[in-house]
Amino acid sequence: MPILQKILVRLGSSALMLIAVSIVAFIIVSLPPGDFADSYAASKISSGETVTLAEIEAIRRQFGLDKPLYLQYFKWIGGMVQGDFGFSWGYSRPVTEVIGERLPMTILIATGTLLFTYITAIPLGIYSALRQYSVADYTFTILGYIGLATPNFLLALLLMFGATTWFGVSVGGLFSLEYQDAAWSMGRFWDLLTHIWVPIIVLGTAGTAFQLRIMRATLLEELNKMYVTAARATGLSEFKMILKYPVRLALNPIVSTLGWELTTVISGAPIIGLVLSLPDTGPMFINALKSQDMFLAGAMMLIYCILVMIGSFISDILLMIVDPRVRMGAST
Amino acid sequence: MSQINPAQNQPPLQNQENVVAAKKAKSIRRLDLATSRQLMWYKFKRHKLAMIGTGIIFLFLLMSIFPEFISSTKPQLRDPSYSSGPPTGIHIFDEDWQPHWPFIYGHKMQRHPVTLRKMVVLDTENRVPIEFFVRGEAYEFLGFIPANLHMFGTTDTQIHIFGTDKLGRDIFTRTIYATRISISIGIIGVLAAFFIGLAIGGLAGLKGGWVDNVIMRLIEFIRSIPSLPLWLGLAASLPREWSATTVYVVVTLILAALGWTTLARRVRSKLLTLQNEDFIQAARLAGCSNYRLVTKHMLPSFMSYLIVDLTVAFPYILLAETSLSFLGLGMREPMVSWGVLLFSAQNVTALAHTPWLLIPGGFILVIVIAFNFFGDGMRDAADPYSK
Amino acid sequence: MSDDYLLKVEDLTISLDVDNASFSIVEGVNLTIKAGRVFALVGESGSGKTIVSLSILRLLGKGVSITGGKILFKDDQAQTIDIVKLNSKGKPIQAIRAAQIGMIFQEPMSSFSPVHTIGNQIEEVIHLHLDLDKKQARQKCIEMLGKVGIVNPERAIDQYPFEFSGGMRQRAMIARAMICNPKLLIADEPTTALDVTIQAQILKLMKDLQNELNMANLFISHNIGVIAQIADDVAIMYMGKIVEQGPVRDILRNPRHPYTKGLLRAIPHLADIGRSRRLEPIAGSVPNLYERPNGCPFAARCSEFIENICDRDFPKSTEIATDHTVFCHHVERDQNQQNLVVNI
Repeated sequence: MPILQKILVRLGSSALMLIAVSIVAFIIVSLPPGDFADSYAASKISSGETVTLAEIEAIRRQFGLDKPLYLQYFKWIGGMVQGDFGFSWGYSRPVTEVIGERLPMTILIATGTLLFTYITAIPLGIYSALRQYSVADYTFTILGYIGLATPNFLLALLLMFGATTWFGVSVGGLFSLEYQDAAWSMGRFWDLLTHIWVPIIVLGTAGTAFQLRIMRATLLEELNKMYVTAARATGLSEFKMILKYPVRLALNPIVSTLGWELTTVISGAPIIGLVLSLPDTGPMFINALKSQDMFLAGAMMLIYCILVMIGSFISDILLMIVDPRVRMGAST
Repeated sequence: MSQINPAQNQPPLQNQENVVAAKKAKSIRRLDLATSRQLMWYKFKRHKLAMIGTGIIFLFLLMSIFPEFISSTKPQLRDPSYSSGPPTGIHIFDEDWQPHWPFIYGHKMQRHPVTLRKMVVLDTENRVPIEFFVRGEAYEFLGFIPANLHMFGTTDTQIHIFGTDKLGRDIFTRTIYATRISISIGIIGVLAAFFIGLAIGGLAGLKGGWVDNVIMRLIEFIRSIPSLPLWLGLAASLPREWSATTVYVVVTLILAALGWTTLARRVRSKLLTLQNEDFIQAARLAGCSNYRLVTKHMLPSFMSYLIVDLTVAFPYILLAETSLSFLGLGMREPMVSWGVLLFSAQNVTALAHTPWLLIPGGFILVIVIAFNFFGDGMRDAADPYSK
Repeated sequence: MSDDYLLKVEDLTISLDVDNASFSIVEGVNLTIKAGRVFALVGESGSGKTIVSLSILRLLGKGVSITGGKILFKDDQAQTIDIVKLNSKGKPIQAIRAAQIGMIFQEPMSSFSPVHTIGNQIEEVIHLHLDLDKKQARQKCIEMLGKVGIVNPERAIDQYPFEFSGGMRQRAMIARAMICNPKLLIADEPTTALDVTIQAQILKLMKDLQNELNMANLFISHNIGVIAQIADDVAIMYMGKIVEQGPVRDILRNPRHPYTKGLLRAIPHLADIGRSRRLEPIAGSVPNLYERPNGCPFAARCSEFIENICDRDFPKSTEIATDHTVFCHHVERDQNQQNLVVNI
């Protein structure tokens, strides 16, 4: 029963958070002076057409830009609730459509990145801790330092540079030309797999380095605890003992950083999407910000936050599953 | 004889071992008696990587203080005869393997016979020796002393050890100047975050109650928003017509405004736990004023942790600025940061033809690694009694 | 000494490695534990008593290693095994752990994994050493929990350690250590972390179980009061060396080593109430572990210090009564004089 209660409280606070985030997102996208009507007029004029003031006013009225900000917000958020995210001026299509066709890729890349991160970091971290100060441990530590220090986009640039100069292949995008607009098939899926590893590695390297360090440090700490000696004293073999006790406990901080890890992945995704020209939400979001495509940028910012919230929610639930102390609300 | 010898040799050997052990014991003994600051220093010194990191950071600081002297020209100055030119190799041997004082080859512009693309061709006939401490472009040393001395350079042609961009600007010079912008943003950003964090965390920790509650919710809120999209959004909202200096200040503030949360949490939790410590209770009973309590008794007891947090925060702020500038949403010309330099290396064609545009990325890598080393050393040192 | 021992420690030396230098922290320790008897090892913290107890099960941590001596153990097939010769991560020592020698630790709070149930951690021991199926194992575990005085063991078996109080955890720990009926139980300060009332209960429980199962017990403590209640034999350790050893009555009534005398004087007695006798602490403090003196380790604090003797060599063992041995130059001297008198 208290578990259910905890989950409900957690959901409630997430909902409140969501409202706050929507307000912040809205404020940020409406911060820039001038509005879409202005930039629309400017682009028309620069392409040699003439625009009258009346036309600009008409556009303003059409999108409700002449109303006070708070009314605009309520209109926006009201539409959201009904699944209407507004209209993207940059793409001349509803925001739902623009985002809808790109979001699955973003989610796929983020999930893939998390899987990659944990599948590599946990075993390597365990190995590093058990063979402390070995050659492998030092190698992982050095690679970890480099991985943590390389900005994602620099890694992407280096990969692109290396692939084009040494292998003569282009690593951008998620599909080869022939599958770009093709319908889903085994071939297209396979093509996706041969491309998606690039953004996954680029996005996952720093996280892997970080989680490896956490895993190594916590496992080393756990190995010094009394319960390890006590478990050894039962005659359990060293390997089984380590897997059952200290490793299991060292997983807790890893699980609890899952939400945070997702946040960094989501944070890093737009810039990588741009560099690698991926057909995901990244380039779209950055362009929307630059061209003040306000509904699109606002909606995307909100969606990024929702993804992160879902992630930290899952992480909290997982932590409750793996750690009875959290589940039962014990202090120690 | 041969049987006696080892027996004779043994005692001195044992003595030697004892001397070594005694020395060890002495050094351990010294640790027992050292003050906490000495302990921190011992511990930090033993962390070799941290010492390397400190050295590198020091070098970068020098670079950011004296870019005019270190570089051979100015960041905005163009060398039209060498646009998109590759790094000028520094040679000691000429074509015939004759050794010389380090020199570079002169160059001339030619069109590729087939593609007609403009390209730089080395002129192996023309050897230009590298000179140290040459007179060159005039500048103001430290901003007010007129000077024209440069660390190195050449007299006839210009030297571009990192190559040039497509406008013919010297990448080495630009990278060195960018060090000043990037490092200063990091430092100012970290300091601003430090004061914001200290003030807000302090308020939460000392006032408690609803103030604490509101602040903690705010921190949770900021931390749960993916940071880069938020930075991007804020940076994108800066008016285009703002001057480069204004953008510099505002971007730094934005980075600081989102970077203070870790520190504030640390300050708050430390203050809360300290309130119940005996030595704080004792000071309070002794009639210590609140101000004195905080500044004399509480802050010093966890200052080392705050400094660790700061050194850890520095690379994050640096990387955030780099990302923003890389996307064209941060610094702008003529405020050149490393991110701005990488901006021109964004597409595959540019990379393929002028890969030296990536060199500033190496600087980012090195300083971030150096700071991580430094931060690790600080973290260990902050806990001097831990093994 | 006779051969009817269960565990015999001979000339055990244990070293600690710090930055390439090696310090011996236990030197030349000899112990004999007889079947069914309670042997107490007493000393201040840092005297090396815990290290000795851990070395018997080869549980020493990183950087600490046995550098000399033997630990002879007579297993249930009446074969003598030298534990020092076993691989600390190998099968033979694992077969001895918990099955033949059980161990209880000082901190009941941290000697269970917090994320596994008590039942899980005790049943694991059963599966390792006894041939029982899951249901039987669970049944045996519940019985054992009841035996160590945990109320409602059917419920407790599925609880987590953090739901237990310190005393209950120590009871569970005892259950875990004794579930396979070991011949020897090592208890490393099992009551130190507990309240005084709980301490008494746990001591009584251990004594009862020890009598019931006819088990030998190596009891580590710094508390002479506790020793007096529970032990048959006692050895006093100081800076990694045994300074006095013998039957507990002998030692308490007739302590000969100045350190033992000091320890006993530092205990408050009910009889002293109203007599305004001050407790006498032992002067000075334990010297730095890394600066082990050449002679008797206690010399620097000893009130009966003899210059040029006590600070030169470690005294030889002197048997002053049956099984009561002392390592002290004074005692050695007295004994020699007595012998002289007898000879004359």
